[in-house]
Amino acid sequence: MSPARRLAVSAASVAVLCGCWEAAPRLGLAPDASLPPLSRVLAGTAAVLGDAAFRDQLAVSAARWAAGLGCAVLAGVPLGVAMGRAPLLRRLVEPLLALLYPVPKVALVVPLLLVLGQRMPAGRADETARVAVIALGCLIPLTVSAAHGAAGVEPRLLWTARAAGAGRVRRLAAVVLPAALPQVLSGLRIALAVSLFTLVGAELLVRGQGVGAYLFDAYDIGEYTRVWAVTVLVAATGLVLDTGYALAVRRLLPWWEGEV
Amino acid sequence: MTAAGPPGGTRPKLRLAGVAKEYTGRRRGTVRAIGGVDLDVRPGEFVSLVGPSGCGKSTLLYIIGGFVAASGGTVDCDGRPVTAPGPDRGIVFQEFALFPWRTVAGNVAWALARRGVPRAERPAATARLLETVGLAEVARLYPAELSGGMKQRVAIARTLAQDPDVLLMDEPFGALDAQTRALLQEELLAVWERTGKTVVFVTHSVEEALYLSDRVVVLSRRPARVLEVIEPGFARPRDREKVLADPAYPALHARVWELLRAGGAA
Repeated sequence: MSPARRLAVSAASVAVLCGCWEAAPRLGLAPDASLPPLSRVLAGTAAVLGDAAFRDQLAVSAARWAAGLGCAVLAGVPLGVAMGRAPLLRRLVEPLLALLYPVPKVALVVPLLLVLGQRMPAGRADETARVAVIALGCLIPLTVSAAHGAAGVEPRLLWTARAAGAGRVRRLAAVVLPAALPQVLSGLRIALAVSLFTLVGAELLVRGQGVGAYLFDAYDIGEYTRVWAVTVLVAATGLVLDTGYALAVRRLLPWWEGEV
Repeated sequence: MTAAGPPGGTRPKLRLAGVAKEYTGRRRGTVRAIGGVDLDVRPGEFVSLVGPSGCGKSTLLYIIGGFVAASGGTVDCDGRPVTAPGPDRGIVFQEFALFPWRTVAGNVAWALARRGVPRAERPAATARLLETVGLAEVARLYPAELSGGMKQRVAIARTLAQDPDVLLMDEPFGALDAQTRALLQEELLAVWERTGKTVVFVTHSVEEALYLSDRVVVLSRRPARVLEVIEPGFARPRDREKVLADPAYPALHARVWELLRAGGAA
């Protein structure tokens, strides 16, 4: 299939979904007023974007998201690379990650609050718990992919570097890190998606401020159009982030032949 | 028939004494891969290692490189024992082992930098090296954009950038088509004749070994030992047609094959 054709097929699938969404409420196929037609939801989206209160919540969420994802990258990538190059460390850490893996990270917010609540004021405990949950959610894909990337470095590249006179530190910086980079970046792509849903999930669960809280408030007062509008915004943000990220990576790594 | 040593020196460039290698296999206990190899390589000599597949000739090369530790015997380079890889021994692999994130020029310049060539001199030195291997036009491309033959030319240029005394080549042309292989063999001989480097060349091609080498070391199957050292003795600089038409060629070819068969059937 040509790229244009592939794009057309994908666009068609989205168009069909949108069409059904528009038609179902209008034809009376939707059960009740809880599902407004898409056009009204999109108008609601515009209204939400214009709402100063929403933009304040968005700024809070964005800061949280950046803090959580940032912590996960700063901790997870070095940990993963170290695990990839030191089998003993890998053996130590891997079972812990395996334990953490099936736990819904959002659910950890409750025990985290229990622990943090004893040590800090409620507001700070809430905030810390939300950021920690995002970081934990992103940690696993980042660490695991960095570990695979660092462990899978072609040994002959390292031999070549050694023969050329590169020491341990230089081999790490100039061979291991760039060789692991594609996998680190594909781990980051997964982490981007995880970060969005743990962010909104944590905000729905521990309310206060943020986009999730804004969403829940709309639900509480029965503004269904706004509920759908925020949901669409979250989905669109995920799509834009993911697509933009994939494009950026392709530009950043012109030498990489595989998919990120 | 032996090539003359350099003036004033008869010390071998490489001396292998009783080099042996054992692995602990997964199922069959200890596997003896190399069973004691003695070999002297003169400075500037072109030596090929041939042997049945799986006989450990590549492992022997890695031991000379210092990438793999021998379990017995010693390797000396310029009289000093080899314990680790060093810039005096450059290696070229069948799979090229280029840094995919660096351009062609970047791969070469990186090796120059490791040798301590100042930044300002690297572009000109890189261009000269790429000229040597006929790749001046593709300096800015990434390895993924090159053909196999071009990749191997880059790998050779990068190894030359390291300016090693000894060039270790692990079936370097084994993954290339026949035409590219022939071209690269000729280019390698030209580079070798110009630079006077010592070459240890692993191949499974008897033709390649006879055409290129001063001496062909025929190894037995596992555990590898030296069965015989053959000196083709064709005139230098070599010409492929003349080598193939040389009255001595068929007998040499037959002799190596006979050894490989005998070594392989043991």
